[in-house]
Amino acid sequence: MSLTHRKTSEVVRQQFWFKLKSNVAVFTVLFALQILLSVLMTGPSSTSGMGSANLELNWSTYTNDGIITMTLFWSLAIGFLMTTSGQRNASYLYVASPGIENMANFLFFGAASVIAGVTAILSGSIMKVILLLTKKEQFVSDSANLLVSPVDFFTQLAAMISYSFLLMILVYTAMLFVQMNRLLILPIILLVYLNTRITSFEFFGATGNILSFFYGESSLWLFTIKVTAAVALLMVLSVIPSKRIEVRQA
Amino acid sequence: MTLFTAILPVFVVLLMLLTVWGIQRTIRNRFSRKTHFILMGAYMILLVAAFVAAEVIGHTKEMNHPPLSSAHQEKVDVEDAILAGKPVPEEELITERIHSVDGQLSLYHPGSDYDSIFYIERSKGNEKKVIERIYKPELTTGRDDFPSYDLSDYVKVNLPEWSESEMIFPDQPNQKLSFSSYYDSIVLNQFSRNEDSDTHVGSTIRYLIVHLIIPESIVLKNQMSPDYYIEVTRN
Repeated sequence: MSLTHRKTSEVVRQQFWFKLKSNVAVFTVLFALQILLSVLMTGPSSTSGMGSANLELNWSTYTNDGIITMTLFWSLAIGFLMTTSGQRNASYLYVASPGIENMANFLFFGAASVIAGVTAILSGSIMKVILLLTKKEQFVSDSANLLVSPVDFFTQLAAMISYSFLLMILVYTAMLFVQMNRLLILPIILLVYLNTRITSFEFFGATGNILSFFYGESSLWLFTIKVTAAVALLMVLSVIPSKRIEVRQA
Repeated sequence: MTLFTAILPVFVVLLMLLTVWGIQRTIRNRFSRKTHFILMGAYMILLVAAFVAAEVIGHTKEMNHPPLSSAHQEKVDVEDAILAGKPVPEEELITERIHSVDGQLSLYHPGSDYDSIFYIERSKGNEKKVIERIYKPELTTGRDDFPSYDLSDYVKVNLPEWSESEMIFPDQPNQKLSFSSYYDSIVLNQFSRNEDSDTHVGSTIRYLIVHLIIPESIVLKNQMSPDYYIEVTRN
């Protein structure tokens, strides 16, 4: 065994930290967008009113939908960014196989999704504080408070982290296939398009909804199993194209 | 479906990718890594401070929330209960008063607004006392199949004015109620969706109900429009 021989886990860890440090700007972008939306979204998302002869009721609702949606879009962009040539070339700094490169990327996605999920959930607090301090009328919060409903709070956190991670890996794998063969962009665009247009599909006689496969799941355990299975499948699939565009042939 | 709406989802995704990519490239070259870490640290501190403040203030303010009723909660229909002679839950009652009347009673409702409904019941007996039960107007948000906020206690009421021979129903106060509510993104509520959402969609209002039980020995001069009252007959 050579003195310079290094364990796989060591290289993966080193690559992961390198990716985290060299991509620190993407987190600054995320935080800047979250602050911007927290301030911009202090207007009501909807208002309703009713009245009788002497009584008028106005109800304004506020939500962090915008921050959550933006964070999910950011996750999508991160999956894309990690497949750019700049990222791949940076891996030449380390002697790495496609497997190691992928593992480091998955670890990065894991860390990024935890940061995105936690900050997205907590950034709703900025909105709440602004509303609590500025609104003179009676304020009602239907939010999952940590003190009042800790289970709801942590399931929201788990859902946000899972969706971020899933989106990153999904886009990452798709973009690896596109880099393997540019023509694959067409079926991928078609799939994105169909996913937004077609509401149900039939699979071995069972009719389901594409979005509701994840989003329609009300059991946290089943949701976790589905996400884990989907992530595992995407991880395996990502090995196929990465062998063709690897940084160093093992 | 136009071509624009067809390609819109793909266009939005590409635009977002380019935006994040562009901003990231711009600020990576503009700030040092140390500056990024300082900014991130400052944001984390801001988030934790905002989170603690929101939890504490929110928890304090939650004590003053209007009561939240669960979905499909059975509610007693006060009007049906009066007509059927069934008991009405005490929480629906604003007040019950007994008035002494000197043989004749006039009822006036000078206003023209539909803000109340009277149930007039004649009881047997020679007593000169009229029982008046006033049930609160109901104001709730939400739909029947979702939890809803009960705002009934926020509605102000002017009670009928009584003298020995007449009752005058005054105009009800003009009132404007304003509420703001915050709810977590619907994306995150998939594990508790049926319990927490749509508490503010729609609203229900029920007028103030006044139930008068007047002995038959008292001569009644009802000067209210028939639109404002219902006579209760008991077998």
